[in-house]
Amino acid sequence: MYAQDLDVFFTGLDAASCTANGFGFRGLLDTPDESLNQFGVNVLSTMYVLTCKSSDVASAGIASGAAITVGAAAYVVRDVMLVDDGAITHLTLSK
Amino acid sequence: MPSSIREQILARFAAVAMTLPGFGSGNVFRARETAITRAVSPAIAVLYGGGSTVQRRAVGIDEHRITVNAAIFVRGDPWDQLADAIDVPLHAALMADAPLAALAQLFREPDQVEAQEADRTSGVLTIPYTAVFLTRAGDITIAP
Repeated sequence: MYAQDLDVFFTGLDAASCTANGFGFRGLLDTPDESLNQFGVNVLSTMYVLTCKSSDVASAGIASGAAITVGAAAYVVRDVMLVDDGAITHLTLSK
Repeated sequence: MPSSIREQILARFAAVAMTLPGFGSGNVFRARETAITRAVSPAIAVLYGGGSTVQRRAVGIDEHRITVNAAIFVRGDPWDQLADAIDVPLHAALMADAPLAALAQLFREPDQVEAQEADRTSGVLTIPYTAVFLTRAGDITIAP
C-alpha cells in the first residue's frame, strides 16, 4: 500500500482557486464542447467539469444547485459524481 | 422558376417565426448543418417532415398533405416552460397569418419533446403541423 497524496494533482499551474459556501479549495476545470443531436439538429454545449478532492467537496458541503466560483467565474453545480475509488470528484457545472 | 407551394409554405413558416419578439434571421433556421450554440438560443428550426398523401381531387387538381415541424430549442430550467413561452405566440402567429392561410390549411399535431443535460439543460419542443394544400396536377408551383 502507499499513501495517497492527492494534493500533488491540485498544486500545479493548471489548478484554479475555487470557493463554495465560503470554503476555499483547488480544482482542475475542463471546458470541452460537446455536440448533442436533438430532433436531427446538432446543438453545441460546453460541458464544464471541475475535478477536485472529494474531501474538499464534503468540507464545502457542495450539492447539486450550489453556487461555486472557479477562478473569477461563477457557476452552479449540476451533478456531484465520484470518480474511481471516490477520492476524486467530478462536479459538472452550469455557467 | 417559381418555387413549389411546399417550399412557399416552409418559407412562410420561417418568415412568421422571425416576426416573434426576440427572433430573427440569427435564430430562426431552415435546414442547418452547423450546431446551435447556447449563444443563439432560444432558436426555432422549421424542418420539412415529408409528405404523407397526394390525392387527385378533380381533373388536373391534386391535394397534398405534408408535415412541417416547428422545433423550438431552448436552454435552461425548466426547459419545457421556456419552450411553452415561445410555442404559444408562435402557434398564434402561424394560425393568424393570412399569406400562410392562403397557401394551406394547417392542423397542429401532437407535439414531441426531447431534453439532454448540458451546461444548461438543452430542450427541444417539436410541434408537427399538417399542411393541406391544392396544386395543379402538372404544376406544383400553382394553386388552382
